[in-house]
This record gives sequence, structure tokens and C-alpha cells, in this order.
Amino acid sequence: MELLLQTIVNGVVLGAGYAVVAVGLTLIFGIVGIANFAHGAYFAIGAYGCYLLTGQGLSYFLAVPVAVLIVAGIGVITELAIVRRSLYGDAHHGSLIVMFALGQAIIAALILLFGPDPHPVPSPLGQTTFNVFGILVTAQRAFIFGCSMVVLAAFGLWLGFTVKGQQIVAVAQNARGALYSGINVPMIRTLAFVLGVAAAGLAGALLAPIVTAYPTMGHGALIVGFTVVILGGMGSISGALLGALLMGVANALFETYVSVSWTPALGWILVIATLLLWPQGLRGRAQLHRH
Amino acid sequence: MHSRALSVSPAPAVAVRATDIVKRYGGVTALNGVSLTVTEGEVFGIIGPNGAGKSTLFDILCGITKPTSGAIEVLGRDVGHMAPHAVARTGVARTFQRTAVFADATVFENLRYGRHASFRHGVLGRIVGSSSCRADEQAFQERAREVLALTGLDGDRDRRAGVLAYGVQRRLAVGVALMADPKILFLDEPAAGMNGRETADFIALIRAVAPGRTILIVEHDMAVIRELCGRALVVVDGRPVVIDEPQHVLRHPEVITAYLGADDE
Amino acid sequence: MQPSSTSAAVLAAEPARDGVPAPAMRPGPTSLSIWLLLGAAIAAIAAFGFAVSDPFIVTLAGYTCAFALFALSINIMLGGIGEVPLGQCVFFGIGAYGVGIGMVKLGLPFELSVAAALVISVAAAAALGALTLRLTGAYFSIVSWGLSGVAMVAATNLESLTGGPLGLFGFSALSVGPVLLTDPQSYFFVTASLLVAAVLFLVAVRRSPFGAAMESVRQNRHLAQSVGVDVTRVRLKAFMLSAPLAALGGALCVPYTQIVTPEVFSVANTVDGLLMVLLGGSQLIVGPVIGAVIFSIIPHFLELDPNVRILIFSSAIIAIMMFAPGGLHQLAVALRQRLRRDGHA
Repeated sequence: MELLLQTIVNGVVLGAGYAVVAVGLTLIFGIVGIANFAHGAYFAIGAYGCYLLTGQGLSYFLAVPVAVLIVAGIGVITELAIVRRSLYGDAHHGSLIVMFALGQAIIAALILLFGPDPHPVPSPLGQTTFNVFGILVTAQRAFIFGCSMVVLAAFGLWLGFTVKGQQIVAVAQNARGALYSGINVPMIRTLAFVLGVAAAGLAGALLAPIVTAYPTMGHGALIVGFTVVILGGMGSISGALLGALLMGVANALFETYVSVSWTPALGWILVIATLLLWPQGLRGRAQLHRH
Repeated sequence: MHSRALSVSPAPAVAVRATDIVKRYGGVTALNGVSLTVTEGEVFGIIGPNGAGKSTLFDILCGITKPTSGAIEVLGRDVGHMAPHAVARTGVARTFQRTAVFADATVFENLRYGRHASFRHGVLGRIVGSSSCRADEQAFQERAREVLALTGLDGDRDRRAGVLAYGVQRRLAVGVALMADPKILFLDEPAAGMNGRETADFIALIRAVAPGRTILIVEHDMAVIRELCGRALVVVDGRPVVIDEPQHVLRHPEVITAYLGADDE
Repeated sequence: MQPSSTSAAVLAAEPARDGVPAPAMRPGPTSLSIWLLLGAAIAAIAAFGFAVSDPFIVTLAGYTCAFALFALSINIMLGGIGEVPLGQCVFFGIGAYGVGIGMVKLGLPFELSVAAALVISVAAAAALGALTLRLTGAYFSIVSWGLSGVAMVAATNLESLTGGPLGLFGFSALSVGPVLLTDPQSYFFVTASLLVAAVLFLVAVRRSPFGAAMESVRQNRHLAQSVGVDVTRVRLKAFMLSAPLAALGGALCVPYTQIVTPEVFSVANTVDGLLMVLLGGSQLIVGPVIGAVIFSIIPHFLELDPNVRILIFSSAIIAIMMFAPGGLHQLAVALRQRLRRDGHA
């Protein structure tokens, strides 16, 4: 029983991190209209940013926001240099290949810069644990969970109650209509892309002390992100949160009770099952392929 | 097989019969109880303001969308549960409003793709140059020549379809549809976006291909409907308002209100 | 399977009536230029095989031909029906593991192992295609990628069958009949002639009604459906055609690698193949072959680290997609047009 609860708690924490990844993916899906196959690479950059900054003696709590800013900066550059110039309104396979290649290039660059081996990322919270009714929660996991919830809530409020947020919602619903009503759609798309990859970077920075920083660390996050987005429906923050928590728990349970060595396949199997059972998403709104 | 059944029938044969078509998307009712009968050889129009459900009706009639309830019979066959490509193979062709042609292919290749349902040979026949391969090719070449002449596209044979002028693309779309020599031709807003000259050319083209065929046209341009159609159905808010000759239809009070209302937008 | 007879048949099928030059059946090269290209290809293969003495380079050339088969397979999906098959490495891996399991675990001869792998790959494509080809675009690519992930985990974990993470090695007689594939020259000649045969077969496919149907589905699936093309069936047939080519490529890589590990299911293999396709041009039948040659030669002479290679080639993919989505072939065509226009001006 204790093991079960412990597993579920660990899964929830992991899921909270995934939710941040998935919300970023959903945002890019909805606004820019592409499946961001490079999302996992930005996740990894966030983690490596943390590794680099803490290595320079910066406090982990400062390193996280700075790493997110670095990811956002790289996001701005890639958006302006590549995404904006080639992919908008692309109905064919171009965006898919480009984003996939971009992800591969970033991962290869990370290997060249830092080597293929995992790097531990120290966190001041690492050794502290709370004992809640017999369940051990490290302070780092509590920090991940808290940060994720705060960020998701802030993002939801921002979308709902600010001018920029409302413009993003408008572009997601009807890009042409938004353009006609005077919204600067290209700027909104850049903003959405940068926010989306920054979310991935944040998740990477938050999870790095637990999972260490390694080049292909984003793969798992990307797979889960796709499942959550497909399952939870487009542009739904609550859907993404719920889906991500379920995925996190499912992963933790499978790892504990079924098989560690088959766990990497679980995400894939859930993605496949989701797409085959609900190709349009549970809410029937995901439009990945626009012909 | 069914052609024999049609020829013994003394009354004009039914080309398309729709009975009490209802289509719902989630909670929205797009069509509510539309019935119509189009006889063979007729040119039939479907008109209505934007969002009235005429495109939905059109997609249901040619088998692309399945109705929530109601029956559709095309050339004596129940097509309600047939796959779209199977409906096409019963002698039904259609044009599309937006993506009307194979844009990356030349005009001639477009016609070849349009001929698909008539090709009998496979990859192996192509490799060994079987007799069916040669017969297919010869029949295709002949038909392509006829269609090129009919649509006036002779000079554009080897041009890429995507670079053609809009009106020319629409004629090519009809040409692609004609390659299978269909008994029924569905045209989805064929004149949308055309200038006066292009519209006149287009009307002449449809007049030329109409003999021996049944044609259904969804159209916004009243001139096209008046010029071409014997009868027209008006759809407003997903329900049928009136079926009559175009000049009568256009004077119907509800039609006038619907159109004036739509124009206010 | 003999290349020259296939080509003669392609020629014979060309209609020509009344002394009027008949229009080409399909866009692209006429039959005469196919003859010439075939002759040139055979001459080049023979010249290369006999003249180059460095066994390493000859073996590398054989491996390049094997990998080019895989690139051709990817292009049946990409250039043929417009899908990005990130998980095409599943079939590549089935070919490699077919040889590995067949020879090391079951003691079958090479030819029989390859034949079994081809049959299994077609059956797998039928089953996977029926499930996944309902999806299009990014959805299809995600699922396809996912399948390769599952295959890789399975290959790592099913140790009794696959040898686990260490893989399968210690092949006894890698030979086709009396031809030893461990001899660089024979290996090159076998893979090169299979590649030529595959290209000729794909030329015939492209010129057949099925090829036209694939092209119509790629360009406009709704319109294709409305002229009677069974889109689902065409997509499935294309997938089932692509699978054995990938498996053959995977099987023929084994004499070069001498080992089969779960890495054959890695998406990195698909990325390499995709890159070959994009380099050469997806709308050109020999495009993937040209791409494969460029892809193998450059890293060899520059002695690149694998990760530098991925970095450079991934960047190249991005550049190609941005500036020449039709591949280098398109770039050459555009350049020629510009030169001609300047000449007229």
C-alpha cells in the first residue's frame, strides 16, 4: 500500500512536469499549426542550461529562470530564422521534416558540446525530504509540482484575462478572422512558439535534478507530450494537465509493478493506442494535418 | 446491368433521389428533412445563402459525407453506405470548390488521373506491355483529345495546372471529371471567383457537355443558375424552401428575404 | 530480375502510333533515355567494381547501394503518397534481424533468411498499415515513429530471440548461391544489381495506373477519391510495396556491419534515409540513389564524427526544405532555367 501510494505520488510529480511540456506543445500546435517534433530538444536545452549555470556557481533557483530565458532566446532565433520563413500554412510534410531535423541537429550539438553521458544537476533541495503519512516526498519533487502548478495557473489566467492572451485565443480559433480584426498574427505566432518552447525548457530545468541532463532526455517528454495533447484535445490547459498526470502515474505504476525494461515502450504504446482509438482527440478538435 | 432496367422504363428515369435527408454535427442540425428527385438529363441547381447547408447537401448527394438519416439513391443504387470512391465508380463525377485540380501535375497528367477508374491493367501489364495496357492507353489518348478540345485546353496540355489562370483551372476541373464520361456531373460553385468573361465561357462549356448527362450545380451566382438550370432547389437554414424553375424560384418571397438578409452581412 | 530484360519490357510498352511521336506515358525520362541511363549505370558499376582495388571503398560502395534501397523505400512513402514514414526503420530492422535470427538462431542459409524477412515485412506492413494508414500527416508520422520505438525496446528485451542489447553476430556463410558476400567485389556487384533492378521496377510502377493513382493521392486525396481512386487501398499498397525494399536494404547491410543490434530500429536510420531522399529529390526516382552516394562519399572523405555528420546533415535538410523542397535536382533545374533566361535577356 505504501509502495503504491509512493509510486502514485512520484507519478503525479512527473506528470506535473509533463503537463508543462504538453501545454507548450498544444500552444504551438494551435497557433503556429505545426507538430513541434523539436520540442524534446528544447526540453533538453533547459536541463543543460541548468547544468551549465549551476556549474558556474549560480544558485539552482536562479539557474532555472535564466535557463528558461536562454531557451526562449533560442526559440526566438529559430522561429525567426526557420519556422517563420518556411512553415506557416504549410499543408504538406515540410514542417514535420524541418522540425524533426531541427530537433536532431540540436541533440547532436548537445552531444558535441557536452558528450553523450548524463550530467548530474545539483539542487539545494536534493537531500531534504518530507514524510507525509509515511510517503516520502523530496523537496525537489515538491518544488517541481509547485512550480508547474503555479506556471500553469498563471498561464491560464494570462490567456483568459489579458489582451495578448485573448489575441492568442483568437488566432487559435480563427487565424484569418483574427488577421482581419487587426491582430498582428505573425507576432502572435512568434510569441506562441517562444512561450511553447520556453515551457519545454522550464520543464527540462525543473526535472533535471531528478533525471540528470542527457542529450536524448527530451524524447520521453516529447512522446508523452504528444499523447497528452492528442488525448486531452487542443488548446485545453485543464485537459493537458489531467492527461499529463494520468500519463505520469501510468508510467510510474508500470515501472514499479510491471517492468522497468519495457517502460520506454509504454509511452509509445499509449501514443499509438490513443491515435488509433481517438484520431481526432477526445474532444475532436485536434487538426494536425490541414489540407 | 442497371442500364437495361432503365431502358425498359417508360417514364424518365431517376438519376438522383434523396429522401428526407437529415445531417447533424454534434448538436447542430445542418440539414433538416431535404428531399429531391432529379431525372436523367436534367440540369438541376441548388442555391441558398452562405451556411444554409447546400454544400453539406451536395457532399451527401455525391457520397462524400454520410447523412445522419435519410436515403440517397443514385442511378438506382442506394449509395448511403458506399465508400466515396465506389460511388464515383458508378458513373458520378464532381468538381470541388477550392482544391479543384492536381496542382503539381500538368494538364495532361490531370486528365490521366481523372481516367483512373477506367484503367484495367496493373504494374505487371505495364512491364510486359499487355494488350489491356495498350487498349487502356489508346482509349485514354482518344478521350483526352476529346476532352482537351471540349474544354479548350489544347494549348495548355503540358502546362502545370497550378500556374493556370483561375477560370482555366475550373475548366480543367470539369475536364478531369469528364475523363470517366460520367452519367452524373456534380459542380460545386463552379463560377465562384470568375469574372464575367470566364463565367460566360464556363456556361458555354457546361451547355456543350450537358447532352446525355445529368448535372447538379451548387451555385451562388444566379446568372449561372438562370442560364443553365431547368429547376432549382432553394435551401435556407438547412431546410428546403422551394423547388421550381429558376425564374419562379428567384421571385419566391422567402428566397428574397434570405438573400437580402445574407447581403446585409 | 535481370535488369536488361525488365528495361526492354518497359520500352516495348511505350505506345507509338501513326508515326506521330506518342506522348510519354508518364512525366520524366523517355524510354530512350532510360536505356541510355541503364547502359551508363551498368558501365559505371562494372568500371567501378573492376577498377577500384581498395577493398574498403568497394565494400562501402556495396553498403551504400544497400542503404539506397532503404532510401528508395522511404521515398515510396514520401515522394509517392506524401507521408513522412519516420518508422520505416522497422522494416529495415526486420530485414537485418531476419538475416540475424535466420542464420544465427535457426541456422538457415542467407538467401532463405532474406526471403523470409521479405515475406514477414510485407505481412507486417499489411497489418501495421491497416491500423495506422487511417492517420495522415503528423499523426501518421508520430505513430510510425512510435512503432520503431516499440520495436527497439522489444529487440532489446527479447534476448532469447534477438540476443538482447549485444545483438546477433558470428555469421558463417554470407553468400548468395556460390557468390560470397564477404568478398568486397561480389558484395558490391550483388547490391548494385539489386539496386538497378529496384529502380527499374519503380520506373514501371510509376508509369502504371497504380503509380498515377499514388501521385493523384499525394497531390489531392479528395479529388483522387472523386475520380474513383480507393485512397485507403492505394496507401496500403504503397506501404506494402515499400516494406520489402526496406527489408532488403536492411538484410544487405548485414554483410557490411557483421552484427545486428537493436540500433537497426533507431530512428536515426530513417533520418539518414530521409536525408538521402531529400538531397536527391523526392520526385525523381533515382533521387534517393544520388542522395545515398553523396551521403556516403562526403563523410568518408571528411572523416566526420557521427554527431558532426548528424548536425551537418540535419542542417542540410532544413536548408533544403526551406530553399529547394524538391531536392538538389530542383536546385539544378532552377539554376538551368535562370541561366537560360539570362541567356535570352
